[in-house]
Amino acid sequence: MLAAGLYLGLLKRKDEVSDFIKSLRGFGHIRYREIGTPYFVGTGNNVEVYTIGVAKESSLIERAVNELINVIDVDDKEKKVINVSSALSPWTKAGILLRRLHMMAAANWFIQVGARAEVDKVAKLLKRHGMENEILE
Amino acid sequence: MKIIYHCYGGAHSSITAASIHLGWLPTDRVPSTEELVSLPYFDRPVGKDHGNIRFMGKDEFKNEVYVTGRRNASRVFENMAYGVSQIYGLGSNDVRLVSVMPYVNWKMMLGGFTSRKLMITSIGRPIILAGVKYSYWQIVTLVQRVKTTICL
Repeated sequence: MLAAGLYLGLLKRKDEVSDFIKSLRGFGHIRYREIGTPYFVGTGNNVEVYTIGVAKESSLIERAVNELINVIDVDDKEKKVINVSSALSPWTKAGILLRRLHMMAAANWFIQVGARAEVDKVAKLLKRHGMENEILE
Repeated sequence: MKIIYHCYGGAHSSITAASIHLGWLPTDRVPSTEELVSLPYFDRPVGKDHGNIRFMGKDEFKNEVYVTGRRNASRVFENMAYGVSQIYGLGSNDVRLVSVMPYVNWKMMLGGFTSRKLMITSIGRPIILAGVKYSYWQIVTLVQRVKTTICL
């Protein structure tokens, strides 16, 4: 979601990260069994941006998404699948674990702290994939 | 329609199911060891192949049959696959995911681990073959159920 927000320009300043995270549709309410379902975040420059949760299998799901797109490709539109799991911080991982233990308030706090810690890494990752974004101090 | 048989490693049970679907394996008897070993990709994929969706062939109704291994991420994989299909305007009448894991027995797990993870094929493969033959009729029933539902 951070990556999507950065790319679409929904997130421009680091101090907006917490508000951005809290404003996400379904934040704190998405059930574990829904992980993997693509979520539409928005459109920017005629590009549709989706997010997909991957649990612990980031490289496997990344491979599967690319392969599946080749299998069902019905048009010639360009697609890009970017794995941002490497930017995940220990804070966010702790938040995810707490969410599984139904400790929502603590989980949401950890996830917000984690998001602030990850935003620079995610921005650099996007730039490495040729997706320009501006994240200001 | 695109039918994707999936299991843990995409090396044994999903290959067997896809082969039954395509008519490469019999449905009136348990296949021989030679018939199973000669199947494409049978006991061949390794960890780095997980997630690759391999085309096996087209059945008599021109449905495309694929196989893949997705380790323990069955739900994540299915959510992703149906979701991505919907993004492209395809529904459950266009893409069908079939998990073969309910028919995987301990012999297939042990043999698969020994052969694919530890790469001791000489020990693992006979155990896998025994496991596949043990569950063969259940996998045949699964495939027949899939074929019946997609033809309705």
